[in-house]
Amino acid sequence: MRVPFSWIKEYVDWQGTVEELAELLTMSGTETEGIDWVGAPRDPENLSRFVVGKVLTRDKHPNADKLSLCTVEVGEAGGGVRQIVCGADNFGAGDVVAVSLSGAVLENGLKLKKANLRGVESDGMMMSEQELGYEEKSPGIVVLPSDWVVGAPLQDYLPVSEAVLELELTSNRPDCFSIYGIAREVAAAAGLELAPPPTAGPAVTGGAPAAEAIAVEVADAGLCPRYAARVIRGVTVGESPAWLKARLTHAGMRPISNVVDVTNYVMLGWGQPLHAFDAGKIRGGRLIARRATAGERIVTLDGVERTLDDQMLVIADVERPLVIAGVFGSVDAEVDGQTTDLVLEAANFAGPSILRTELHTGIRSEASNRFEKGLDADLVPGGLDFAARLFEELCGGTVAPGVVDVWSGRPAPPRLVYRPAKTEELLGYAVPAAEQAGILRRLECGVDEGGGCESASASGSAASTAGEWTVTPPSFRPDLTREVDLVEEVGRVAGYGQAPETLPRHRTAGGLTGPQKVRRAVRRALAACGLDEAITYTFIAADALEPLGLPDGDARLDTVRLSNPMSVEQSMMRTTLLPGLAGAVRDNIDRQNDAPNLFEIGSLYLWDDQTVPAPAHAAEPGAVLPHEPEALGVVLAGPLGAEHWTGAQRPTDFFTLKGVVESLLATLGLRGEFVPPGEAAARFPYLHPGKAAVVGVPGAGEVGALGMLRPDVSAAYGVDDADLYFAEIDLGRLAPAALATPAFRDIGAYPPAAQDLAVIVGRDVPAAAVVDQARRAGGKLVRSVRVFDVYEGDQVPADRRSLALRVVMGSPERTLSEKDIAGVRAKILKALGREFQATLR
Amino acid sequence: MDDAQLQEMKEHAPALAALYHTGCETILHAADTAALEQARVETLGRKSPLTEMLRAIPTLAPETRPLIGKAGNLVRREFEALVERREAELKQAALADSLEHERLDVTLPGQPFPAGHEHLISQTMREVEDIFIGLGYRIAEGPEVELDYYNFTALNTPPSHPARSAHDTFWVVEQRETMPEAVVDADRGVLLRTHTSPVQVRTMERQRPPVYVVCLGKVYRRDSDATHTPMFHQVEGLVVDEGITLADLKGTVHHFTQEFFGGEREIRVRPHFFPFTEPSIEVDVACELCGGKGCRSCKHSGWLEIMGAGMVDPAVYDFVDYDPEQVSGFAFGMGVERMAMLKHGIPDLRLFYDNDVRFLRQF
Repeated sequence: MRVPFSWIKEYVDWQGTVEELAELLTMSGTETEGIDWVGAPRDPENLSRFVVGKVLTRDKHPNADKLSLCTVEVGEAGGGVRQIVCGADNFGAGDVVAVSLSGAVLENGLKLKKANLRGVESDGMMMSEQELGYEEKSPGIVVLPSDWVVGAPLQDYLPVSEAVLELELTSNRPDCFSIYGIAREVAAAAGLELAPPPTAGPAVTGGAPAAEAIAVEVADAGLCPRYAARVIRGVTVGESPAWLKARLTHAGMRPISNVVDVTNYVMLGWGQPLHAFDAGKIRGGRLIARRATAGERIVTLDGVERTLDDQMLVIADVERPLVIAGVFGSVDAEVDGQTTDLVLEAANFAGPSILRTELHTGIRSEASNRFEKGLDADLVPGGLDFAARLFEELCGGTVAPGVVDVWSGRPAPPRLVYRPAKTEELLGYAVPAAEQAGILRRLECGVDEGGGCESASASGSAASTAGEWTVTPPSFRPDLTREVDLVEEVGRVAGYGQAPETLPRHRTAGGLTGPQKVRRAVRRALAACGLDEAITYTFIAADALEPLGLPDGDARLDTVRLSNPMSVEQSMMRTTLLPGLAGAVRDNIDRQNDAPNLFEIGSLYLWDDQTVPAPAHAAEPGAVLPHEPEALGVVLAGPLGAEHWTGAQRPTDFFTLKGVVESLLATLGLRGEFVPPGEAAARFPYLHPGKAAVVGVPGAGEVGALGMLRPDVSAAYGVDDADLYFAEIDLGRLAPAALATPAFRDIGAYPPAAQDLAVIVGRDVPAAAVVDQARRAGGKLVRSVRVFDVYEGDQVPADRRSLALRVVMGSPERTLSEKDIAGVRAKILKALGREFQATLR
Repeated sequence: MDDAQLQEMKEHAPALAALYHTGCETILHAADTAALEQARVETLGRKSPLTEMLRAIPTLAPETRPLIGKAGNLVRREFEALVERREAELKQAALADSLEHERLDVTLPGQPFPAGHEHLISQTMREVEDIFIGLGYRIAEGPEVELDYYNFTALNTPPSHPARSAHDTFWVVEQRETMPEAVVDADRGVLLRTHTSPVQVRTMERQRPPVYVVCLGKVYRRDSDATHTPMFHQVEGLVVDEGITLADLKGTVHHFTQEFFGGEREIRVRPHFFPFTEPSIEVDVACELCGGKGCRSCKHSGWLEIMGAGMVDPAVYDFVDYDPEQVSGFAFGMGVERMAMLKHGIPDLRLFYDNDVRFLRQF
């Protein structure tokens, strides 16, 4: 909310600066986000150049039809009489006007200079409200009340320069949504006196009583606890005076007409939203607060036809709805230029209902923003009186005697048990009881230090109620319903700055769970491989999965969809990390970055067979939450490691990707088994079937797949010129098997022996099968077998290839003899020959 | 070989003495290792004059044999020593030469080892986790797609509470066997969590006090501009124990900010409002750029807001069956991106999700 500094000083005698006021408000719970200086530059010298002036003569400009030549009295300090050329024609000799003298810097930053206008010197300017910054466009200059002292600083009467406090209000404090409410906070926090409410009614009333002009019927008291009206006759709709325009504009509202401006001014100042009806347009002389009928239509003031439902309250006449109650008026009973008689509404509407209507209509107005928080029904009479007086003073109206007020009466105020000791216990430091009582009283709570009320003493003996007070919060504080709410009031007004800093007495030990340790290890391992971690949006586009070619019935196609997405590009939750990672690769390539190698760890969202039923106490029967497995995605798009002048670089290929996965698994203490996808290929249709593998881990089963993305899939994600290699691993499956405590294995006292064997086998024989066979055939002396070279070419038949195996042998008991080694070699060769028709190269 | 021995050899075995003389010359003049090897073969090899002379000893007169044998062996040892000496000399010279002349351009780049980067958000979350693990907290987790109940209702924010409208919630199209008929409000049961606070309730449902947990993760709000992304990360902390006070909260928060930001960063505690804490506060840290004097980055206040917090509202205990007369607690929440932005001077929130490697590799 925007709070003009000069306005709040009408209600509380604040002697400090606006900055000090901002600090006080912030530290007592009303956060000041900033101070907006509006109007002309605020230095005293500049402000001294804005004065009240009086037009002495007004003559035609000798050389211009549309200009007039005036002499203006601006007072002794301003140099007596000035000659001013003016283009407006809404004034005459004798009018009191706002003058800016030469040298003044105006609100728009321009500096006023003596000027020669069509051959005549003009020394100063008579100002319009536009030039004062009070409205966007003014037809003429501002004519001021005739009793303003000529020569006096204009700032004494009008805010030529204003400091506006920008407050961030919280939804629990409807009482703060008015200047008077903020003044009350200031008074309580600073220990100042608050001015009486600005709600004095009209001095005189006249004509037939209000009740004869209008009848009020409340059909739904639940949604409308209070509805009151006054009647004002004979108003002249016109412009508001400058001071009122200034107030509204500085507070962030646009001046419209005197009638509308008065209702807005009272809402801003006092907090009670008002609605002015053109009395002549209310059919049947009756206002009815009722629920809309489902499908009922209303054309709101913005010209939009809206369809209502039966949960919404309207204010209707006998024929049609006139207002969406507390939210927005309609064109049907709008005040216009011909309006003379008004029915002024001040009502109290149920906050939740207003909130719901806002959500369903998408309308949020200054009024509904206040009503939704639950206003005090006691604001109503003050609002009516305040506005009625202003209608009389500013719009020339005559206020009819009496108020039509439909209200079942004030509910009994809550009486709260309050223990000063409990406050100290919760805050952790002492606040003297007298200070606590003083704070509560300054907040207009009734405080009875005599003893607890009945509901509390029922459970305990008389002794236990010692130190219990009874506190009665004021009606404008609906947020104070429990003892703890009062604890906060005392704490915040006393100031948290005095709170000491302590640490809890710990009774637990900190630490990470297994899966949390795994997650950290995975990040460390992949960063160590040279990959950068990406975090992509978990929302994906509605068509993001289409390039994958997933088969019908695949769980990844049954996505979690948002009912109110921000865009179709972010309309559902991901079921694979691929679209996000591919997009990150594309974005980097588009920015001419190195082709990136990325990984991401995050949730997938699946309506699969592992959805989570909501507990009975938390949701309606049948409600479920999606399964959120944690996944790891890896994408390689370019060489790992920067290009180096020595020429050393890793290729971007399947085996680099596999190496990354192997390295990751090794960090976790796991060994992967990589097999061609076979039948599983149908689940990974986006991978090149000949350059892909499914990876399994003993004890965890299949944990994921890796391989080259089909080039048409890469292209569909916007990557045309690079092969992408992608792996996706289910971390949830991996975690239980990972990071087992490794048991020591004897490294042996005797040196190992190595033998290299090059065997020629069919090209389709998997290397892993040859290695596995060799390991088993070699017997217990074999420590390890690995492929260290693969050859295909002229030296071997076309359908075969040579695999060079390094067999490392050893024994815990002795150094191996030539005979031992030859024996192992022979066994391996024999087995490979038998199983794979392998021949020694 | 001393002078007496040499004199004796010249007298009694002049041929050997001559051979000794030339051999010494050959060895000592060898200019490099190849020449030295050549000299070794010439002086000590199987076909060298010395070897031949020694081989011929049996053919000599018996009285001269010992003399020649002894002198010959002396010469051989002398040659061997000289070869060794010359070898050392040449090695020394070669070393001196290489030290003198071999030069690398040490300004060329080093051979890089692949070094990837964990995302700054991950690093920041880990840092926060470690600080709180040090204080005896554990890490709690919960789903991102969440029930309205945990996100709002059980946090004392029932339907129609005005605080809800500030949250700009993403709602999820529910999957249920039987969808209720009142469709308009029906899809308001499942949402993307708007804060990490639902984990508070889930944690308290699972365990009795004492509770010391932090929860970190993704949260979602329907908002997108330079200071808002529809997905971001939060840290939530919850402590419930006997005798927990607001002073404990303040001390904990200050410990955290000093650990995280380093140095003696002042904090300021302001009253605020959250439905699930009472009293509620917001915490500011002193602006590092201006040292509290006020600058653009802190909107001229000297303070930067980093955290919402407060004492757990007794209404929340009602939902999890804790007794507010027996235990009290505090909760706090903060934005991970904001913490990282303040710490590293990052100007635009969206950089975190652009995944531009020029950004990712800075941290």
